[in-house]
Amino acid sequence: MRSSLSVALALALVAPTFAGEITQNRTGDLKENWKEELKPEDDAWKSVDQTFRFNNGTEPETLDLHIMTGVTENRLATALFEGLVSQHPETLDIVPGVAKSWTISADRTVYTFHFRDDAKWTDGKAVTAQDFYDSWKRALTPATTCQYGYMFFPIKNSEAFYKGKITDFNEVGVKVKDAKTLVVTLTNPCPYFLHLAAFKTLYPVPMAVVTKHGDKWTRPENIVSNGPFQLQEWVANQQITMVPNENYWDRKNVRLKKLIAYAYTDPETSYKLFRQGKMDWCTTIPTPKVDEIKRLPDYYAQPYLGSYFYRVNVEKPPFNDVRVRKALTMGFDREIITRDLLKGGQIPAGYFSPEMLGYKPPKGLRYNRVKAQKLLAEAGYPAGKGFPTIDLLYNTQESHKQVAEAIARQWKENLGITVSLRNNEWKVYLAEVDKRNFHLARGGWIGDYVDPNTFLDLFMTGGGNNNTGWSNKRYDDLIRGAAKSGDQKERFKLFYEAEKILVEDECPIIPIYIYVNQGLLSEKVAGWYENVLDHHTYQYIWMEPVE
Amino acid sequence: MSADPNQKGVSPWVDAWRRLKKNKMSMFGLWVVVVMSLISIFGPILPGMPNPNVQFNFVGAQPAMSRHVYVQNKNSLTVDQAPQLPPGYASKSELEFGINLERYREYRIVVRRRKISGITQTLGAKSIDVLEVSGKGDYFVVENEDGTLGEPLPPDLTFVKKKKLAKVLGKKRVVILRHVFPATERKVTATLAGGKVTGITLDGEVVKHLSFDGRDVLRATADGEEQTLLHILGTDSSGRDLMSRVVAGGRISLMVGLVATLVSLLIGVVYGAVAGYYGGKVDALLMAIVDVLYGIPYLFLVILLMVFFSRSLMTLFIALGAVQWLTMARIVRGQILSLKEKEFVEAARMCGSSDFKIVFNHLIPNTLGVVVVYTTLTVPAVILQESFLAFLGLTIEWAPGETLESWGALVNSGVKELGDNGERFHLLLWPSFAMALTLFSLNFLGDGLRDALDPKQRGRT
Amino acid sequence: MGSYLLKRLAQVPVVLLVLITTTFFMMRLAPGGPFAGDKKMDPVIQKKLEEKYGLDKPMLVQFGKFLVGLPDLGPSFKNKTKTVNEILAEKFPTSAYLGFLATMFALALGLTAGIVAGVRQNSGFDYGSMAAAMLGLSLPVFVVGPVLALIFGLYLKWLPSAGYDGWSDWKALILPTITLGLPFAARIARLTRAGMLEVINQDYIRTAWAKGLSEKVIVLRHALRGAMLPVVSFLGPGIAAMLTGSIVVEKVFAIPGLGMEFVESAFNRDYTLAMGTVILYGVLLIFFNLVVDVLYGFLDPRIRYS
Repeated sequence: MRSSLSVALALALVAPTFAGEITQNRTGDLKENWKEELKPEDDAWKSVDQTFRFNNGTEPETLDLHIMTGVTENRLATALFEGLVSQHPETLDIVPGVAKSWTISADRTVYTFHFRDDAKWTDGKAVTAQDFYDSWKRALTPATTCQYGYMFFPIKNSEAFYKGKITDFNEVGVKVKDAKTLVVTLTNPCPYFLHLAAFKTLYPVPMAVVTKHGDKWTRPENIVSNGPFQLQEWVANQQITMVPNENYWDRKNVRLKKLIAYAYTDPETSYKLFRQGKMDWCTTIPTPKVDEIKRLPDYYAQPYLGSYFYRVNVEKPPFNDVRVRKALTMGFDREIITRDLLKGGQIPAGYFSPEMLGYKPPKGLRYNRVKAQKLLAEAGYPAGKGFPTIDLLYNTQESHKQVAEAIARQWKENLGITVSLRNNEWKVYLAEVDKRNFHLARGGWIGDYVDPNTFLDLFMTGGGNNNTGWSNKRYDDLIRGAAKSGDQKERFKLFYEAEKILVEDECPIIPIYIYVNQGLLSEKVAGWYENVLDHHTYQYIWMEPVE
Repeated sequence: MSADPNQKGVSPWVDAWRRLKKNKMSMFGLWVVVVMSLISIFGPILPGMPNPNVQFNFVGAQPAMSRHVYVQNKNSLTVDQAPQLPPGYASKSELEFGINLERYREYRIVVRRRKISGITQTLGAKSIDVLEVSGKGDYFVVENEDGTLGEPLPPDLTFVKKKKLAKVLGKKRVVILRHVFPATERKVTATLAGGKVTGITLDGEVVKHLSFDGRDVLRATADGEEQTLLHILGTDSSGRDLMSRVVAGGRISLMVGLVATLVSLLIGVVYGAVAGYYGGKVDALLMAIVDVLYGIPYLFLVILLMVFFSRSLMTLFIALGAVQWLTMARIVRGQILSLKEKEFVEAARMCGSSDFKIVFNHLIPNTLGVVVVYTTLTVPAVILQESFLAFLGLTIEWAPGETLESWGALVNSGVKELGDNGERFHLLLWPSFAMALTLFSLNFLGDGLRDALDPKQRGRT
Repeated sequence: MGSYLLKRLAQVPVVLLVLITTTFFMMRLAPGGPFAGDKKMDPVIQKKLEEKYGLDKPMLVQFGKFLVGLPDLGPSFKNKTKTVNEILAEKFPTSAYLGFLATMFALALGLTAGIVAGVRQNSGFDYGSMAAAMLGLSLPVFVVGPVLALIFGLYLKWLPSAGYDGWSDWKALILPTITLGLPFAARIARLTRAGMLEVINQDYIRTAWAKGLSEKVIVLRHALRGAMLPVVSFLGPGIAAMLTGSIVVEKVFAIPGLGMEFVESAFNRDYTLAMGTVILYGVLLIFFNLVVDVLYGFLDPRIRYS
């Protein structure tokens, strides 16, 4: 009886694999020995001080994974914590993290993660599935005020729990099978779920420490983390110093001995320090100096998953008339902005979601002066006559100002309309955008993961970041359809159709360009690769001698 | 002893003026201020003055006395319509343009550790692994900052990532290549009548419509004359004429300085006069309030005001004026205190003048000297404060449609644009010069006025 | 003297109260809250955040709580792990050090130039230095700073153009000190000169001359005291000006001090930190004004407030 039971059990365990389950420990075309290629070729690096200093651009708000929102905090989270999976520094393919392998069910809704045995926290304790369960529960609990809760939504019932509609976390699709196994159930197959798992909000927090110290758990003397580095010192508004985590499972491959993140807000300052040799990586450059900086060998420009656009308040006349919106989109030449003003190689774009992973966005509406004038005349404002003065809101920054001035000038010359430029500093600008107290407002959106959904779901009806007042049922249906489908090809088709509605038919936004990430990287740095999310994993970086 | 009837009595004003005239620096200051004011008021409306808002993006930042072809960013000609060209062309009858439709792609090659670490196509920052110098067009190395091109590269050259750089390029660490597609210069002619285009030819062939970018135009002639535009002080990064911006900036700076000072004047004079005249408890209370307010870091509150509320001109005036009135109040009070014991006040009272009349008709006019002096010294202080706010990013929203900036904002932009080797220095130099000169002069004038009105020196011409 | 001092001390809490009240309510009334971010928050989350920081209670209650809680200035809204007091304690020494150095520099330069100019009235030095002083007052600090940084930092490479590594990094403080101190020095020079001129023509100086005392002795021992009066009375507003000037200098030279902290907190709507810096500055200002007034009383025996 027992033997037949065990055989049956064994068959039951084995059978699903036969039935089409996939077991992986990496995605993409990564070779088995992908890690070998990320090592130094010789020992020359050992003669150089392995300290990597970079400018993080601003003081991080917090190191609590569930409270943090910005790119600044993201860079630190990557160093201090690690999630179920991680990403290849160059290709961004998913590689093992805390989980050494994972299994995906045939219908692609159940992910089973198998943890490695040597994954440990900085205090020596093992990283277990329970840690993840507790962390994710905390993230989705409304009282935690985690703003990135929506990253969990493909997981069954997570949205309902987050919004307070259900209160029992057991109903959410996360289960602890045993200390080293975590089972996640999704509502629908989600091709990019592993990328979500690689996102900082899904990293684990040490719940015992959080409960004990409350808000102060991220202080250097209290914090416990599980990533390649640990927090050594935090001088407010100055720098954050990190050293290798001795208990990290891959400690022997971490070559840096110190990692320092500075909090200088002025790109000019970090540039000066770079020139003095006091900085190894500048994450931004002072844009007025782009011509000189291009001549430095340390300058790099890489495509970035971000879109620069103007939101249109479709409820405020004259913008309730789609012809007016189209006229404005067609009424200026984006190339003048990107080629003559910004000079960074930014791509002038009539579309919103950048090209990625085989997704090709529609072309959008190109510059066409004659057509634009015609549309404006049809709408009742021939040559701009009678067109009310409208305002264009942007947050205070020299580059935004220059772009706004150039575009407003073109509209005046081409269409005869007057645009009043209004700039507010960041917080007021956000409040105004929120209240929809504008005709046009500058917007910028950086993708959270590599899938068009992160861009296109913005403009669904009532979306928190929509802020245009635009609502289109067909668009909503298309986006929702894409969320349900597991077929990448089908999804991209749906996205294409949706984006066409967005940028060619209805135009609640005026797309301008796709970002290019510009920065400076010292020649001493090796193991740093350009990628479209500007996501860098420090355990693969080391310092080499300069010849 | 009776006064000599032939000796004319000299009013204190004439006396002061005489003394002022002797002070050379102050007179210099006075002249400069007058000239600056005149330029600011009338400058922008002078015929021939460039428009400070017109952008020539394809020109970029150019130093003083630079010229460029007089075309717009985007130009177009369509038969039976007015030409899309800068103003002035519509009244001509025969136009000719030389257009170079050269197209190019730019690549950037970086060498790290003696090997090519990256080849990037500038547009879209596209990274490529192999670049071959072959096919149509020539490849040039972009030599310097100003974009001059070197010799064309030999064909059959290949740049491969992770390999060494081609010998012909030597030890360079950064190579910027331009792949130029051959294009011959094309000639465009157009005829106009009554402000409308009547005919267009492109290389001799008749066309109905043509559009071209400003950056592609090599020359433009109208009725035989070459059309170029001169920028006396150069242009900024958006190609706007610097001189007209400095002049327009002066308008704003001086106006801000004046109005904010007047605000502080109004509040301070009335406040101080009341305190000084009534004396006793009223004075003690009012001055106590002043003392209390003195202890507040006012500029912080100004910043808070500007950050939190609207950045309209009104807020600025009030905020800046509010910072200065305390000193004015103190000074006026001091003056009134010493004046109110004088005989003419007694006399006025005996005539039955009301307190109000005495204060406003008699006392305040006599404080004018001091007030004028401090006004002249407050204006520059206010202008400096406004520039400080500009530095923090709290610029003023001027009028809808056009962004005009004060000197402070122009100087701030100039500092930001300053290159490491002093490039674009002119963007900093001219606004700073205008501002420093004016402030300098106002200070000297104020000093001179103070010396001239000094009661100790009365009678000592 | 004593009663004057008491009167001034009595004003201190009044000033502080006015300051705190004004700042507090101004900030609360302003648009934009401390939690507005790039990606819009779920309203449930927003509510929870506000509850956590007590922002959901009526303003007067918040104000009362704040007053009662002093001197603990509460948690920083932006930097979620540190309290305001901690941040102030970290940043203040650097700003104080810089301010101190700049004041010393300004006094040294200004007094010397002013005395010499006054003694040698109408000489080349007089005109030259006064013109230079005027120039120092006509150029904004954020122009002088970067230009100096450019010349001495990037071009000549004599001094670092930005950054500050700690107490031992004195080289990094040279340019900021000069930039911050120059306008102050200019004013001091002018005032000293004016004061000097006033005093020099007095009878008691003439007496000293007649007695045959050397110029140095006359200047330093007799004239200086009287000449210093206008300078002392200016120290109060002068230091106030330096506090605001430090904002610029700290930003331009990347010195981690309190100046930039204030501006950032205002921009971030970090209510507690902004309040903290304003109060700290206010206290400093009051303190310095008091010291100055007392000093003035000592220097000029004519002015002993009864």
